[in-house]
Amino acid sequence: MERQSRFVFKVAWAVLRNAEDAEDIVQETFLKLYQNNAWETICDERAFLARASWRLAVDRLRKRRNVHEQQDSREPAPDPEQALLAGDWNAVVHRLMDALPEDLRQPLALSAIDELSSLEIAAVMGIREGTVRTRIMRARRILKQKLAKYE
Amino acid sequence: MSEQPDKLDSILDAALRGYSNVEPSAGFEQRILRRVQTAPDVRRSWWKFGWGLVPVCVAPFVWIVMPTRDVPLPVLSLTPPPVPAVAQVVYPKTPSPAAKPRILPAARPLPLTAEERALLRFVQSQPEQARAALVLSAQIEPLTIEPLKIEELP
Repeated sequence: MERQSRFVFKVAWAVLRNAEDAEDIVQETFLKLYQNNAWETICDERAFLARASWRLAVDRLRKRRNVHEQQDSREPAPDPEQALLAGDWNAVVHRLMDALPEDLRQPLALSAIDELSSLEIAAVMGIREGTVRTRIMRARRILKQKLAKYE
Repeated sequence: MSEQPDKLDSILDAALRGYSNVEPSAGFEQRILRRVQTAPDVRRSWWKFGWGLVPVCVAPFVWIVMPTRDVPLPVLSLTPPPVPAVAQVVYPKTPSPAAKPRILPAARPLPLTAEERALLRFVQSQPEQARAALVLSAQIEPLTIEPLKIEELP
């Protein structure tokens, strides 16, 4: 558990962008693993954990959006222009990423976790590897177009 | 022209590394471990509930499948049960106003005896003598029996 918990946390954080919610997802993922005795039968522990945590995180994100349509519990990124003035390009990119549609944002965010390949992301999201690559490319293109305006 | 995309790519990659470098707060593993250990075991509680359901599910099946057994009849005793000694109170019979007189069904005529048939033949054949015999029997005075006199013993 100690070996994989940080990895699970990163997957959950990539979807939810909130440390507290990500910790809850880690707990739920490991509970699911132990209560179903899944750890006795799974072949690829990491793939199982990544998929389980991603599904739980997406469910939570959906519920959160349904319940609090107006509220966003994601850790707030600074306004891009203010971030630019401060020279914080990371904050600008995070802000722009939050504005992306989820089907583009999630593959890009998961690809940022260096342990996950596009094939693994495809297994986690239940889509084809080619679709993952296409979405990542589209997301990057949109972000670069927006970043070019701030240049 | 090719410089700008490279620069944007590097900005993008640098920002995305933040997703990989994100770390939970201190004591994260211990917190998770404690929460997982203290969480109620849903599976076990479900099984407890399941065990409770077993007799509920089995009972109707047993009731349908099980053959009906001969139940021994209670032995009837011919002697009446002992009645407690209680003073019997007899209440006077009062006819209830709602009670209606009971109508008995018509009695079936019984066949005449040999004496009755002989008497009938006598009346039909000699009605005058029969009438005279009836009057004669009405005129016979009843017998009077004198009271017994028992003398005292000397």
